[in-house]
Amino acid sequence: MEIIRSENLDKIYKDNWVPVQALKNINLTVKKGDYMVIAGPSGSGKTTLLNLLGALDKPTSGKIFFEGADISKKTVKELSGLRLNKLGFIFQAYNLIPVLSAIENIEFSLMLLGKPEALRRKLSLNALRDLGIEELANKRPNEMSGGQQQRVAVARAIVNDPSVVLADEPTANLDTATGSNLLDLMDEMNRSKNITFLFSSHDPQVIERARILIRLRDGQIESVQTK
Amino acid sequence: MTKNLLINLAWRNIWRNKRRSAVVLSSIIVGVAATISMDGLTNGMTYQMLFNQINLGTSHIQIHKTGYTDNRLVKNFIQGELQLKADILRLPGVKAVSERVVTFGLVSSAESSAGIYVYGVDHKAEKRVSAISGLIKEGNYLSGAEREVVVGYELANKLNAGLGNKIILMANDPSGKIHSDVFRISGLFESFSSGFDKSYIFVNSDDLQNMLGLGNSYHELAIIVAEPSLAESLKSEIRSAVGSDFEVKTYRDILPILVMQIDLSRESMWIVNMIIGIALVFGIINVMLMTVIERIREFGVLMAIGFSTGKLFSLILLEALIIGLSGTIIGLVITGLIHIPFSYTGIDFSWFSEGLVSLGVGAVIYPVVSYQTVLLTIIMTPMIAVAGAIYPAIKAIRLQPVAAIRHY
Amino acid sequence: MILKLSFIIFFLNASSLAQTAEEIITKAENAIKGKTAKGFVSMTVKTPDYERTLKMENWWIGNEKALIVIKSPKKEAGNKTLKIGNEMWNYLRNTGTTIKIPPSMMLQSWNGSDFTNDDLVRESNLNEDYFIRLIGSEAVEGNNCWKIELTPKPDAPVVWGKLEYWVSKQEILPVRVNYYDENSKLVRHMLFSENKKFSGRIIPSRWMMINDLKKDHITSFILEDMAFDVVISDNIFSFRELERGD
Ligand SMILES: Nc1ncnc2c1ncn2[C@@H]1O[C@H](COP(=O)(O)OP(=O)(O)O)[C@@H](O)[C@H]1O
Ligand SMILES: [Mg+2]
Repeated sequence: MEIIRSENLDKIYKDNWVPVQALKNINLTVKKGDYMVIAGPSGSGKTTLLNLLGALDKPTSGKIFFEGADISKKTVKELSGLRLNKLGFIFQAYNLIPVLSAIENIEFSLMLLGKPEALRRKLSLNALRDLGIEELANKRPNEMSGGQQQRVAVARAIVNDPSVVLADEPTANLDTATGSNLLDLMDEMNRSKNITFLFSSHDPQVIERARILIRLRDGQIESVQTK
Repeated sequence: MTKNLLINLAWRNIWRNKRRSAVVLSSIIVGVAATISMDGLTNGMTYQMLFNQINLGTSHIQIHKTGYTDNRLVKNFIQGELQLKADILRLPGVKAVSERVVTFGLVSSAESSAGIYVYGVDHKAEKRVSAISGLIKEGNYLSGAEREVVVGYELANKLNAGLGNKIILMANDPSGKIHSDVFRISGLFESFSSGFDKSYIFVNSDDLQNMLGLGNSYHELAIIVAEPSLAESLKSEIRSAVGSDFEVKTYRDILPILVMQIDLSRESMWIVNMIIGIALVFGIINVMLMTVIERIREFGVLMAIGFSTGKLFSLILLEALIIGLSGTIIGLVITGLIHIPFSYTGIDFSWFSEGLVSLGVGAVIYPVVSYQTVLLTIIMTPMIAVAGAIYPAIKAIRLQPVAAIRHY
Repeated sequence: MILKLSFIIFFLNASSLAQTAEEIITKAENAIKGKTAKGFVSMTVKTPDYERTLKMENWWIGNEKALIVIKSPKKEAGNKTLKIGNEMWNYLRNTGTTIKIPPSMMLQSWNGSDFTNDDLVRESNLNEDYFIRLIGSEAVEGNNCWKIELTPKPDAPVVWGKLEYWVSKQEILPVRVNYYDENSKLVRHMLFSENKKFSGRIIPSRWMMINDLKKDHITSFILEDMAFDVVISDNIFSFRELERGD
């Protein structure tokens, strides 16, 4: 089942003195249950692509369909709702709201969704348990390590059962062992719960786990490999 | 993190940077305290001026023969036979009435002389209408004995006359003839107004009526009512009772300049308050802008996970509102704690009282805070705080989530 | 011995003439005022800052009516003061206006002198307002005088606490008057000197009022030509006369 499909995506950043073509003619499809990695050197356009697919930014030309609907036709409010309901985000760093504890960070989007308190608690605790960090529930971000923070970020991204989780270089700020652990957890979730993951990374650990690997170079798709 | 997401989040954000919040909070507290104390002092001062004038003899309502105010002539007297006083005393709300013989005259001693207003009064009735009897610093107020006169210190000094000394009063009778008579100083008073102390003297009405051949006629009926606010309604009641032969005026009509001054100082308070408000707004804009810039990344994450721009806007305003409300409450409590004792003891400004005394205020000012100002402060201050957060909040929601996230 | 002698003389004088203090005062006052009087008087006002002299012509009927016309200096010549009873009017030649002096101006200085308007107007009937008592004899400026004390009656509208009046025994003319306030402070005094003969009557021709509170404030009158007990037409004391230019 198709979740995201892009058609001839172009992204040109014009706010600089020289316009930068960050993406050129990108066509790809993300399907339910995919474990897809967009790889490429720094500056190749990975983040730009992920932001477009995650409805955080708008393409210069081309179209993005989310579950069959053209997202360029949606209002700011609808896009915000889309991110809230259907998408989970994991960024490179600083994912969490500093004034909220781990469990509150996870509960946060459920709260925005208006889920009742008891359900929120249960789902959040489950997510923490799935990631093996129950003991961090009441810790604030500044009391946790980078790896712990990223796990909480994963828990938050998956807690409302999104159609797809977008993770932009999630291991970039972690050491190899911690990064590997985190990737194992997401791998496990993909397999057991059929959660769709879309990564961007140039970390070999990520690339080697990819089941679909898309290589980007200078804003263009260089190759697509399915393992 | 249960009941209200936004309030909770806002509250926690305030505690996040305690020093900054404390700065905003204290500037609001100072603003509240300044607004209310200024109001208290100005009101205290102007009310005191009005109160003093009323007490020194203006009273709440005065009745004269029509034409007297334009032409303060001795011949514009009210016939004693009319028994106006008894009629007016019967009206509900009237507390005291005094008949006064009033004329301009000249007092002289061996050394000097001065033009003055002389009031001939019935000491018993007058004691209930004016406060002069309470301002006697030496000797006694009028007792009804013959040829007594009560004068202010300033005048006594000018005449170089003291207690028991005689002064000669000279004045016109209704036909224009000049009469003079001798009086002995029975008491010396000191009011809050040096101008008053220099130019008013008090004698028994019998003596003045005899001297001027007035019989039992007089010029002025001074009325004290139960509540100053009753003055206006009683005025029209009295007016219809006494008819058009008499002028009925309230202290507002008699002291238009003072009343105007009070209104004016109210208005100027608005300007001062506005300046305080504007200063607060800019202070808050400044601080809120700093917190917004500092949290751009955080806002990016919030927006990425589906926090709407509307909610973000509300969050920032809410943070300002909470600080604004707390500042207002703390400010009110502190001002109250300072103000309440002072409203009983008064604040002694005698270190520059010279000026105040010649203004007719008195050196000790009892602050009077108007509930309007308190109410206005309670409503306006949090609104001002919120107003100061609007621009930073607009800044925050204009951010694209991507740009915000990219902001390392 | 000398003391005893003068005592006897005093007694002789007093008893031989058998005059009461009241009579002495009345005589002295009448001598310098007369029933009617008219004549020329010059007034010199001297203060530390300036000195000026006014010449004027006067008509008096007792203390009841008076008309004073300024003759010089030029600037003020033609200005007039009319007094009838205790009321007073000033005529200003320059503007041709007559102003009634209100009570508030009664105690202002008359033409810059040490006299007030009130001094001119007041019917100072010493007998009526004062208790009069002979208290002794004294030589004043070479004149053998009676010293008489005048204390105001309690209800008399006079500002003074006490007057001391010296009358020469020989001519029965005023020599000096001291004016005290109630605290017995000397406020001003008046000196009469340079006796001259006017229409058969010898009276002091120089009257000097000396202010004892303000140093060097002296007003002196010099009677240049006076006629007493002459017939004066009542018409003189009218507004028509007052406003008639010369
Ligand atoms: N907001 C932006 N404005 C201008 N240029 C940008 C912006 N974001 C990215 N770029 C440029 O677009 C290109 C792709 O960037 P990016 O998508 O961040 O690459 P990657 O994530 O693969 O490192 C780079 O050349 C980068 O400099
Ligand atoms: Mg990137």
